[in-house]
Amino acid sequence: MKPTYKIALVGNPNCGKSSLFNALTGLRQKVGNFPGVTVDRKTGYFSLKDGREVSLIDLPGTYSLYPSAEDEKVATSTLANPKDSDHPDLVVLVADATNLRRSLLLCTQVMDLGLPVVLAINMADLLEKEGRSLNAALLSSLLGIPVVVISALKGLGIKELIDEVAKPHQPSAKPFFVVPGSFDAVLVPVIKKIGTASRYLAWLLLMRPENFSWLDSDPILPDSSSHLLDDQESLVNNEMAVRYDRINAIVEQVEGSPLRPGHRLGDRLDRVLLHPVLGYVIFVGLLGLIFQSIFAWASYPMDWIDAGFSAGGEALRGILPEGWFTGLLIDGAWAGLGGIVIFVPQIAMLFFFISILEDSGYMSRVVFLMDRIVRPFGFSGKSVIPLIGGMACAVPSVMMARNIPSRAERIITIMVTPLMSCSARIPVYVLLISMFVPDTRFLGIFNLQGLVMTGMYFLGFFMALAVAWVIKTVARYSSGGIFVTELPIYRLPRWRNILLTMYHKSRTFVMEAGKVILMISMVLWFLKTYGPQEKMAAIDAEYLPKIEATADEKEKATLQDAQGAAKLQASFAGVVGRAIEPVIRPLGFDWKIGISLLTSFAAREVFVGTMATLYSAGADAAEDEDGKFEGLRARMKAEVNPVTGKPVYTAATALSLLIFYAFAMQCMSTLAVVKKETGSWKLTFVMLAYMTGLAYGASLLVYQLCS
Amino acid sequence: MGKGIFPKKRLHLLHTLENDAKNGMIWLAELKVGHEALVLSIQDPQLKLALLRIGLLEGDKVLLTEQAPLGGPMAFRVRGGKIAMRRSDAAKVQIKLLA
Repeated sequence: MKPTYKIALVGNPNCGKSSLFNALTGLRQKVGNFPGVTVDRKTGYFSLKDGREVSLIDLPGTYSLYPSAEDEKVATSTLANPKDSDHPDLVVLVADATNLRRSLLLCTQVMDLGLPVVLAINMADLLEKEGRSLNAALLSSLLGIPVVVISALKGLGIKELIDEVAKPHQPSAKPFFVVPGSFDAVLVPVIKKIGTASRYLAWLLLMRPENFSWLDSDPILPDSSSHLLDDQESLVNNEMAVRYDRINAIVEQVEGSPLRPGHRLGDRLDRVLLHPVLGYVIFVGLLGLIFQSIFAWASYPMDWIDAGFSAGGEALRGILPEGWFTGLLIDGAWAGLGGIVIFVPQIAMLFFFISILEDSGYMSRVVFLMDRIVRPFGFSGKSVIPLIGGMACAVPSVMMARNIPSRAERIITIMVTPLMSCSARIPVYVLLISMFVPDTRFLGIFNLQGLVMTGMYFLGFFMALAVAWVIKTVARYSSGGIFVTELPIYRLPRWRNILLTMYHKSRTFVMEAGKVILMISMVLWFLKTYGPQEKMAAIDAEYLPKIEATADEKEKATLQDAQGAAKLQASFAGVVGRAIEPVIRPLGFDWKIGISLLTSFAAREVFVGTMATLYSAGADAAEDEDGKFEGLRARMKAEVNPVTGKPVYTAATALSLLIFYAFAMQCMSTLAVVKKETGSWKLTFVMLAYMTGLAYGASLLVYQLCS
Repeated sequence: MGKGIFPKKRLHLLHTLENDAKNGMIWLAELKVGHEALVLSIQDPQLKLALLRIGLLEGDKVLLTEQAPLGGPMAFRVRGGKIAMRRSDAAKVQIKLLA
């Protein structure tokens, strides 16, 4: 196999790096993980004219080699560590034509590391539109590196870039920033120890030793001269000042006139979108629109998937021989898989909309609007994105918390996101609300049931804020972090990027959450289907003859439903349900609800299906025409407690159950993702514990108060 | 201190700003929407680095374009585009009023 040429794409966030990556690699790309950190690792391949294969890695966007967030650290260490498996042979530095100065800061730092660099100035189309000029040739000679002007979006200059990349390249002969000789005493031992030719690398290490954990040597600082390193902040600031002085001089010669593309439109948009009143109105309106769309449109593919999996299950059942293994395969694994895949439309759509918001530049405006509001609760503006996403599904939203630089804020956000009313809770809400909330109009215009539904959403939101506040107070965390963000230019979304993001995130969800759900689905299937031998045999003995005896299809179906219900009651799940009944009785629940609570631990919507089975309301109960579970509801209402003679399902029970579902952690996928993103079992268990406790406590309170 | 609109910290901030104005020092936090200023110095080294990384240097001009309500962040037009920062951070940036 020919040795691959390793190239890294480096650049500021929002510089169009991903567009270039997509343009170069097309579909020959893969998204994985960097070991030990939750940062996406995007790699891909493309070929050069001479037949060589290029392995391209799109490093996370960073402003400088003094990283401030997890993903920036990864970019820095990949470039600094020659032994890193992703360490490139060549760097393509993607610069933003509208922010050349800042891009050059990063560029000169990378050059000083001793890596060969090709500078690709992106957004050339904006240059042309404005009629501005940029003397690329002069820039190239002043910097001492090749410069190619491209527009990744329009596909301009890509061929020229590929040709340039194919040529042999050397690291820059002279460093851009010359580390003062006065530091030799500390630098030389470091240089010798790492074995590098780059004084700048040694300087970087001394300025930020904490970022160099990949060097498993002990602190290299010699004691005697360490006074030189007393004030690292000033040293770094001075270095930046020196770099910018040179960069300013260069840019002045090279730029026709300062570039301000699209500012007029952007300014006008901002005046509306960041308006103290209108801005918020628009934001809430947009959110409403997005969620409506997700619920409305996602239901079609969800129904197809549901039907598809049911049909597939039946087909399999027809082919495979009867036996426990078939049961495990079809009702356990296949059904479990269906339970995962059915989420994909919602997740894909959620990411679709969020990617549009991010790509267009609107997302940073949202962060701007919400920062002041969420700060008292321990969040920063950036936490809003996962919180919003949590209203559709917590699983991808927890992943989105990666954008939050402050670890404390990130954790608070993750811990609290599952409280937002996610879409899986909807079937449960609908069942209970339609049972006990009259279908009337409130104040003449508002549908009472709809109001209660909306109320549940607000409940989740306010509880999330409350819990965050508690965590913040208990942990004595003061949200004092420095908050400085860019408000990028508004742009039309780049559809290729968006579709690729949708694909990658959905795939991650299925892979990660999928494994966990599948396993637990199978365990639950076992618990639901099997029980103490004698009891199961007795049920069969009772029902089978009766079923054989009748010819009437309807009566057969009824008997089979009853048999199913009896079996469920006798199964291990039923045993557990009865065992926990004393614990849940103060909440107004009986053992049947107990079983359903247990089974819905896999995924919340399973609650309705399990209830349907328990009440032998038949398989159709969960998929009613009007979506309101007529059959199931009727039977639930008719249920009478044998001991007290009173109905089991009172309004108080329903309310208590609603509250329980609002707060309980009943989603293994979420737990799996939280463990992955926080890297801590302890935090995951803490979340499980507090949510369960909260659900139990609130439910208890509500039931006792209402009955 | 509290969750109120005017927590102790903020009252203190306003008080300090008033004092500085008497001494002739003006801070970025006091800039009004639509006005331009020249950044003289950034006192806090961490803030300075954060701003440097995002492309704002001492000696640059800034124009305050939007101000979020209730003491929220401020949005500025700077040389390379637009940035946002919290008022508490803007209070550490010394400026000279231009227009």
